[in-house]
Amino acid sequence: MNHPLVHQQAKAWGERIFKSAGSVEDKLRELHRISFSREATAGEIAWGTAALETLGSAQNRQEAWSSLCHIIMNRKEFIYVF
Amino acid sequence: MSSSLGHLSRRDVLHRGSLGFGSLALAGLLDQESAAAVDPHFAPKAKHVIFLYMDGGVSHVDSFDPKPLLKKENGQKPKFEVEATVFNNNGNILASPWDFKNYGKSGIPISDLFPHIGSCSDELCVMRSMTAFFPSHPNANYFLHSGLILAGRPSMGAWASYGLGSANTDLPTYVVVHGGQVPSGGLQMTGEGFLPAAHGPSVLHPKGVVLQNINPQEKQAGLQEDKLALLRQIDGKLQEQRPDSALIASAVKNYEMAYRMQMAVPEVTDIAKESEAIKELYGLNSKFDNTRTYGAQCLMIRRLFEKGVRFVELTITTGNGDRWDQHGGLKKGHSQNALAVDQPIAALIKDLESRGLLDSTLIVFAGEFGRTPFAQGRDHNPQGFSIWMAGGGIKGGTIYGATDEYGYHAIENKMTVHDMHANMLHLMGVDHKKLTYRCGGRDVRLTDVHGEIIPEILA
Repeated sequence: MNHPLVHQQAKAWGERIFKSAGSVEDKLRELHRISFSREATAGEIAWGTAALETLGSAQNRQEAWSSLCHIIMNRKEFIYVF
Repeated sequence: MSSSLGHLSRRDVLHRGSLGFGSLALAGLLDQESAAAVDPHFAPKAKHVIFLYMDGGVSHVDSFDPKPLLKKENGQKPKFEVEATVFNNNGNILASPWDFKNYGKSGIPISDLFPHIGSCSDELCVMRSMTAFFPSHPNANYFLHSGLILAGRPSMGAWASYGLGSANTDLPTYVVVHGGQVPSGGLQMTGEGFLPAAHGPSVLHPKGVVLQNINPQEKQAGLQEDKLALLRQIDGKLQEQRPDSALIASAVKNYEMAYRMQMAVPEVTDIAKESEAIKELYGLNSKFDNTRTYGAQCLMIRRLFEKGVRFVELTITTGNGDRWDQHGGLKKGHSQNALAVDQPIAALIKDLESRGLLDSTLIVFAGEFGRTPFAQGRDHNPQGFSIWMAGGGIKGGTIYGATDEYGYHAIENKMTVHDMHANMLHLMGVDHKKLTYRCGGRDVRLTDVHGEIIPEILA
């Protein structure tokens, strides 16, 4: 949640995703493939799309992606294998 | 094992790839109890417990168990058979460098090492017939904390958390306020062992970085809350898909608590708000650095209790020469160690008493063993030593048990670490025989298969 290294990595990851080609949906799918080694569900695409709106406006889109990456790193499915 | 997530989980891949984790490990992880408050077995006397861990072994004949015969035979070869000790370099009888005074209405004799604690003598039950079984520090420490010679069993505080559950949700039930001195055998001995992780301690420091990563990194107001709300949403979906998983539920709860700890921990350490009188009482203005540190540790305890923490253990400060393990340099070493803790502990007793909290707070002062009555400094003496208890349900102004005239062996009303644990749980309203956790095919207890209630020490 607060570790500086995690924030740093989330920032870098978000930047990379933001700068990559593709639609928002493409990028969300890629994020889920990288994080969970599986395809995103429809629910997760909806969640991610709405999340980006909450997390940032058009002006700081990159930061919104970084925040989303930070959230993903804190998801229990990311942290734990079960 | 098929996944109910509707797709191939990482676990499935590992399983099918025969690189899987043992099913036993998974079963252990999934079989977790919740950390919600549970009813004690009977009415408790103590709602809170403070364990003042005196790392290294306080010499009982120099503190709470005066032996005039040592003075009389000072410098003489022991007239009795001396058993092997850890360093096995034993010389002649060594009298205590300190005088003893009788304190309070009860007249309990306490050495000049602890004049402040002495002034609280009418609250104390001094147990002089304590015994442990293991002369080496790590094993004696594991035994003191968990009732077993080996590492890995849950510590007293974890059992208390398991037995009583949480009184609030802003802070964990069990906290270790770490003075800096890591016990011989590792700080892990204060941990939860095989009990669910919710019963482990939060380790706080009295100064500087109180708890690592407690501060949010987000610069924008509300951003952390937004993120956590989104996280809660998506993790909630996971919980719906896996309602059987106590592990996920536990992890989600931990995050909720972590969020609240961000506010609660700074509040607990904001000592600036305390009155000058209180700061003075606890030794925060002392000339001696370690008195100030231990004073800050003790002052945190009351504030932790105000936030519903139930069990606090203190480790001692560092940078004070050695801990209580004075094989040599007895006068200097024990003086410095006592100087650090004496005033703050007395302040804690008095502060709790003045707030009407002492009756519901059990205080235990104990190290892993005592020290021998011979010279070359003093070696380890598990076969007879002193501890004391005060507060909730304890009969104050009392001495229980006795060692022989040299302070070498406990001879009257011998008690063990198991008895200490049994009575601590008893005062918390817990039957030590009924508080069990299934591990390794056994219903394990803090007291193993031992432990007796001692009515003489109970009010």
